[in-house]
Amino acid sequence: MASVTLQGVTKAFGKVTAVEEVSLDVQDKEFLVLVGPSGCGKTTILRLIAGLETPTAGDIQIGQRRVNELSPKDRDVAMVFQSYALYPHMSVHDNIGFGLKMRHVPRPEIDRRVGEAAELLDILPLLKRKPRELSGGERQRVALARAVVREPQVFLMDEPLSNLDAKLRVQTRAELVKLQRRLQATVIYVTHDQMEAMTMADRIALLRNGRLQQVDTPQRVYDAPTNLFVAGFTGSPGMNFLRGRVLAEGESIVLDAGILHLPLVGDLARVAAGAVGREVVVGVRPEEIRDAGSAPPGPRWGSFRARVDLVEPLGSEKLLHLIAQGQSLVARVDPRMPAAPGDELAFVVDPLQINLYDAETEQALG
Amino acid sequence: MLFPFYWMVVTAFKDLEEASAFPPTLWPSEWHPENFLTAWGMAPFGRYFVNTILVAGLQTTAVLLTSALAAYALARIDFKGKNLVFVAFLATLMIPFEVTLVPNFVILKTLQWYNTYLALIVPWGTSVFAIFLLRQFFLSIPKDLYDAAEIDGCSRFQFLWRIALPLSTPALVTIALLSFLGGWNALLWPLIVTGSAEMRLLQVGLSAFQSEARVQYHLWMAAATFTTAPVIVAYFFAQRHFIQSVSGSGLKG
Amino acid sequence: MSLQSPVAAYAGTPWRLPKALRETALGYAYVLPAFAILLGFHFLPIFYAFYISLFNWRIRQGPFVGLENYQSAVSNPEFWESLKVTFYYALGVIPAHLVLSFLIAYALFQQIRGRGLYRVLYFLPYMTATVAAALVWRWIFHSQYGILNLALDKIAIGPQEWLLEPRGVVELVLGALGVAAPEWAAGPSLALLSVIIFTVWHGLGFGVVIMLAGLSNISGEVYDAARVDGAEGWALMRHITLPLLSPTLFFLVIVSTIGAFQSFNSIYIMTDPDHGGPLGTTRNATMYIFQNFFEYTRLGYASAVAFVLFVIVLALTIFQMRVLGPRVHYQ
Repeated sequence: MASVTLQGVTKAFGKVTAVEEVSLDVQDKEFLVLVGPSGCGKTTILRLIAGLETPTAGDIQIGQRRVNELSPKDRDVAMVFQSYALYPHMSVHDNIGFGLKMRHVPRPEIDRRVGEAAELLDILPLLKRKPRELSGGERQRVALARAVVREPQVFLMDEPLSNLDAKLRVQTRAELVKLQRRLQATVIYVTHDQMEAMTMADRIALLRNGRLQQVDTPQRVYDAPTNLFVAGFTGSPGMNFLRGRVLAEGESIVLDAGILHLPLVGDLARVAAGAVGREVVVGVRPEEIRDAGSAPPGPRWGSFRARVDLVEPLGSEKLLHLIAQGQSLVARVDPRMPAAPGDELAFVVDPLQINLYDAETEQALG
Repeated sequence: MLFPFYWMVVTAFKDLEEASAFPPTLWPSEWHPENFLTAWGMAPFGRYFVNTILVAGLQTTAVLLTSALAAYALARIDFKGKNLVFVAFLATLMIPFEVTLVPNFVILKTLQWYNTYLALIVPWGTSVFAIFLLRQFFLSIPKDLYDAAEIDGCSRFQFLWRIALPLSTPALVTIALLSFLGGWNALLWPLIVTGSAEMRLLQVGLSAFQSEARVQYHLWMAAATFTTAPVIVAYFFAQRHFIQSVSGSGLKG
Repeated sequence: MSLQSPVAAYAGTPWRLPKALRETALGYAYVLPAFAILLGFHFLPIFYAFYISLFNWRIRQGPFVGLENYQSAVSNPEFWESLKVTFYYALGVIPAHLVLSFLIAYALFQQIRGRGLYRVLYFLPYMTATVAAALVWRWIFHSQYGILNLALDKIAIGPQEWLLEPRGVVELVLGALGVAAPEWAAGPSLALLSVIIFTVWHGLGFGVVIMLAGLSNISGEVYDAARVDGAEGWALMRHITLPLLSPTLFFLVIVSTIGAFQSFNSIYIMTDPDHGGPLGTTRNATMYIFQNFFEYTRLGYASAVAFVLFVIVLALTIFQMRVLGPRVHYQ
């Protein structure tokens, strides 16, 4: 296995720049997920690493080797496609073994390695079948086996789970992570589903319009999004945003966001001190808007009243759509909290659990 | 619809007297299977068959090769001037056969190909219809498959050979059948570019036999029977392929 | 796992053409064989044909004569006669072909049982080489011993000369009724009509198969929707079947027009090629070109006629595309 390094990689298709100045280090044995909305350039990055596209500028290294000019077959990478891209006219065995055959691996060794890969993915009984005789899940396993059998330096996966039904997707998600641990594989995985990114990744790389927004562990990305876009993209439902202003009230730094009036503490106060008088956007995760009745508020917590507009019970939790002074908010609360549309309730927010962004640059303060 | 076939076979078994009697008989009063041997012996039909199979076979092979390559380039390779090439190919469909007859004859004379197999085969060694049909098939192969093969280490040519062509078998069968039939049925072109009897193709031979056998109608019918028999037998064995091929030509062509 | 060591890879990748150039070179290499054949034997010969037509070209190239060949063609009644035969032939074959194959295909489409078998049988003539099939029909049409005359005898119509009959069809019918037809309204000769009948028979299977494919491409749901909307019988045919079949019909019109204008085999086999059939009444343009070229070795003149025909066919094709094209409903 190997590390992958992108240095200032840009890819333009005619006038459209799909990937712009992306620099990224993927560690050996790391599971890195490229995530972002469709058209953000994540698949292009994967194809650049695979060698299916040539970068307009920048360098790509696999291991310690610069691979810019190498064709895909010389890069020693394997790829799993969203559509699986199985060869319809070949048996499962031949599908898995095709890459080895193209590299002139001797026949007995092909058979042995295909057997091993098939066993690993639990598809031994399917080896003689044709792709059209397989279910969606089985095809997905064959596509994985085709990558595994090559024992490549890097696995590239392009939304490999998106064609599976919801239940199978969750199950395969876990299996894929286990497989990666077992093979000690470097995996670069593309998805548009932030849930998939959160659950599988060692690190997440978030993209927007061809530019890298943030590369960090899932928890860091969730807790401290570097800008408004990342903040809004992660989590479901997304973060609540309120417009406000940073004020200096005597000794303390205070945030005034209309419904919410909070004294800032700790790091946030230090960061906000430089932004006194400026317009900011306050980000509050839905689970950080708490029921004033059940949560014992800390000493400097802020509070506000809001009317319940809609209740979405999800079993393990409850989503409340709130309206406070014309401002819409979503709160994620305990399912046992009594709340019905039209109720006027009190909520509290911990000032340590909010994020502040410059309203103009949309970047996190600090 | 089928009466002419019946009438052909029945007449082929009559003797001259019965064949040219009026009113004709619907069933031979005496069976004369030796007519077939007589007709076969009157002209080098064996040679005609060999020539035809050779020419139609090579022509079909050439059509498959040239059109597969061209269709692949038009479908999967990005090259400058591709659209122009495509339009040029399309334009040749509008050219009636007659207008190229004389110039091609002169060209072949100049090349000293007159009365050779080359003259029979090379000008028909590709087919715009085949190129279009295959191009359609190649375009319908998902791009992912192409990328997967590239990562698996396939070159362009290997992809064509190992993936694109096996996936286009229906189109290849169509092209092979239609192009072989085209070669088998050709009359005007071989009539013009060949001169000697040993270079004749089947249809030219049969047409010449008509005057060679004069008014021996039962021998006409015998010769017509044994020249059509191979195709008809093949047709009944593989009629599904034949019919699907032609249906396909209408839908995609 | 790569055969190349990292050091070697760093030492420099082998020099190669830029990717775009490589693609272009590869693209042309792949199209070259087909392109060369089409260019050499189909495309350039048009210009060469025009060149030849400007010369008094017999077996070898003769003196330059300018447009003289065109002038003598235009002033030659045989040339006009051959164009008339060509148009009669096309006007006889194409409508009959379309109507009959549509009716048969429609009838076959309605019934499920035996459709496959009928389709196989209707298709059989198309699979038979034109030469052999035409030979059989020549025998059927034979003026002395032909079985067709026996059949006519049974329904109390006198025996006909068929392929040997130069008189026009209209002339014959009116003549039987005791009316003399004016010369301009004589119509195609009975000999030509015989060839037309043969051609329709021979090509019918093709039309049926193509139409069946077209009909089965129309989804049943569309018919159901139209029925729910109250369409039935002729309305269903007029508003659903025919419009949705129009791509197929268009294809058949184009293909059979091209075929009709190039027709040679049947005429060559069924009627006397040396004289263009009875009094030249089956000598179509192809036959006329063939005769001048092959028998009289007037290559320049034949090329001039062929070039005129080319222009006519081109104009006709463009006309069909322009006029019929927009009426085609593609799904």
